[in-house]
Amino acid sequence: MPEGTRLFFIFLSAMLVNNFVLARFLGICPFLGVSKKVDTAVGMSIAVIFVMVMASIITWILNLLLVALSISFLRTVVFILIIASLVQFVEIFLKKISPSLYDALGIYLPLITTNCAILGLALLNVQQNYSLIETIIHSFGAGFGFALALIIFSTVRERMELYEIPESFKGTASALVSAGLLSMAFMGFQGLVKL
Amino acid sequence: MIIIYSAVVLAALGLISGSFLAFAAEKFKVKADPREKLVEAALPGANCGACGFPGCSAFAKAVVKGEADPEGCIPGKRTGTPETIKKIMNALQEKIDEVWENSEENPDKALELLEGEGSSNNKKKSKAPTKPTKEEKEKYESKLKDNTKASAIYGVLPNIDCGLCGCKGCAHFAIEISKGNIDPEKCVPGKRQNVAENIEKLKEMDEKEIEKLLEETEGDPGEIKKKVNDK
Repeated sequence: MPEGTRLFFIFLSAMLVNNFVLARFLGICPFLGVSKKVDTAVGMSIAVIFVMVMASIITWILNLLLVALSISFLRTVVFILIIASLVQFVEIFLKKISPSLYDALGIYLPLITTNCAILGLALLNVQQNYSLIETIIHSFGAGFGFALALIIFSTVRERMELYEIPESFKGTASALVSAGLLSMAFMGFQGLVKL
Repeated sequence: MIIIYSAVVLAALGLISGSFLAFAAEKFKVKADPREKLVEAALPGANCGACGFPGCSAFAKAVVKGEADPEGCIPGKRTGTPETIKKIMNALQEKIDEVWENSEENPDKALELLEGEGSSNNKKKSKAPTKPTKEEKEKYESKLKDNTKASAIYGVLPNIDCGLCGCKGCAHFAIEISKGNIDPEKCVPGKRQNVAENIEKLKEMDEKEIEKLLEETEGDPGEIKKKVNDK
């Protein structure tokens, strides 16, 4: 397989087939928490894409060091440290650049730290033995996949606000049901790409 | 060997990310606008919400941004708050920065410095009204029971116990009105809610009508307001 095609398939696979939220079920907390409005969903998506790409580049480089010193058992600890400080940086940066987005994201911004999608991505990159360029493409795919799922879901939830829903299904219940339906829809991409 | 490597790598990483964050925090520091603090200090601080903003600090922010009219502060109107705010807004940025620094970033002190500079027509700086303590409030609320007229009046008051009228809470104010000791117009936050008119209506009613009203509404302030407003 030519290199370019392979990279494209890695991107497509991370975004649609193995979508982090809807197929791997990682990062459900912000998926449910920030999806009430499209605006905040877009802001959150951008923050997650940024953290994902930066974190996987840095963790990929650090993994070389860990392997060279044969202390790769420290992977998880080191990766969490890197992700946590990156998220802190994003928080400081957003507070300065866009206070309204900072207010809208609220608690979910620091919660990216414990977002398993990001740690999962960093660990997956290492497990699959991706090269640096593959890692970058893969994390872009994962980030856009997260953004796609979050934004689709937030539009669904905004529409749902307008309809009359039985009392017992209001709020999180109907959100979880529609998240399940969305996930089933994404199952349709299964078999689109075989790597 | 592994132990030493692990310790060194983790310590180095911690140090690098720590210093990077410290650097970023300094570089992207958010400076609070001293003007906002000054306007907030000039407001009565009752957080009555009559201006339509959630609290005095939100109103101060909106005023500085130009999104709110200084006149919007209803409790402050009598004590010259809008004039003070206009003065703060009209002052030059250098002047603001200067008093802000001279007062060591203490808003009250900075406001005094700024006021002292100008003409003397704003001498009496209004003091923030004292909110009644819980004990004082409860003392008068328990007295309401034996006074049907005051209970009805209490129902139409805003019930925020701001203390702007000079009484110890809305219950005290209601009792004083029922005795005719105080002017209903003194309820500043209530001006927008037709409180004075509603009290007039209640005063015209006789004992029986008031008792009936209290029975129908079970003394619930919201219900009383609705009923009196409809009359």
